[in-house]
Amino acid sequence: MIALLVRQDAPPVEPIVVESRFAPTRDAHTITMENDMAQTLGADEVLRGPHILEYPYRRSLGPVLGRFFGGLQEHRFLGIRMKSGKVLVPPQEYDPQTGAALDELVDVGPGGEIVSWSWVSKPRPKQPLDHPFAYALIRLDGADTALLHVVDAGEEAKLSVGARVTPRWAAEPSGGILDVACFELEDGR
Amino acid sequence: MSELPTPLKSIVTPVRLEYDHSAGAAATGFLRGLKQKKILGARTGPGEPVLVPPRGADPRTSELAAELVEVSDKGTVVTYSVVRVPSENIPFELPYVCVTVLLDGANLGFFHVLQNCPLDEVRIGMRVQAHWLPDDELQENLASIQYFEPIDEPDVPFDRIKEYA
Repeated sequence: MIALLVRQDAPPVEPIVVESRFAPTRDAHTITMENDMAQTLGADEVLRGPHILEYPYRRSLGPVLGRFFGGLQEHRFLGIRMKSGKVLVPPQEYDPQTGAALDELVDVGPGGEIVSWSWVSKPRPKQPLDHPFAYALIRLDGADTALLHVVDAGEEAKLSVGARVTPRWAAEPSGGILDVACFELEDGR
Repeated sequence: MSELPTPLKSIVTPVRLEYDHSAGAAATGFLRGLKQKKILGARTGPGEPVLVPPRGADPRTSELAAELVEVSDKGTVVTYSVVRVPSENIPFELPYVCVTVLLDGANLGFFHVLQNCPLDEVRIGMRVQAHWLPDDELQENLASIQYFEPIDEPDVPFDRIKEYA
């Protein structure tokens, strides 16, 4: 999706470097300015430290997403058929075009193809894999919409729009989208 | 299609943000004070309101509040709230009371927890004092004050604190 939002004739964009939390990014000027202010107030050096905000939300799923996530634990992907005949994955309770209630769940996948991707060269601590990977929109076989997930491809050069992928299931399902550990390139390059 | 899978009722979807937080100049003075068992406020100049904790600037005028002022660790409850909902990071037994304390010498309410007081005795105007960690355990953070507790002093009439309630 990100690639689609960039004009083809646009000049190259400087990469945004996001440093890890272990290497603070504040520049020397900012620190000096803070310390100047601190001296005004009689403190030698501004205190700093980690501040972690975490909410362990548990969300209820409802009848449709409940089946979708239940299906993952049985190594199945479920979509839902819209009134137009197209299949939404992940499924939703209501038709986004007409608002009508939907109830026709259908099996899709497990294989699919990459619609778009974004390469993560330096994964952050809580991201799904601890080595470089891609977040990708994956259209599963039989689906008309794409599912956001992870592709473990080893290197970015192996990815392409239209590349075939297949799921790698989590060894121990824990309830959630990561019951699919990730997707892999089907031809295993 | 084949038989539908057994539905899951819910999933855990945590949200976690990790900040590298700079306390800023104003709060740094306040935090260093706590390690010395002092509560420091700040004001723009003599006779001006004392803000605790220091905000860096007077919020009414945006003027730099650079003068640090020590205030008392005793004060008056100006408002309170009974908490009956558990939270993993709160070490107090439920129910407990959160209080806004107008510390003696300050002009801004100070938010903390009240202990050693039955629920039905908590009231606006009651006098309280900070209960600190032992001196050798004091830190540069607000945990240096464990809680506030009632002290044996007469209540402050509401008229004298109503601006802060």
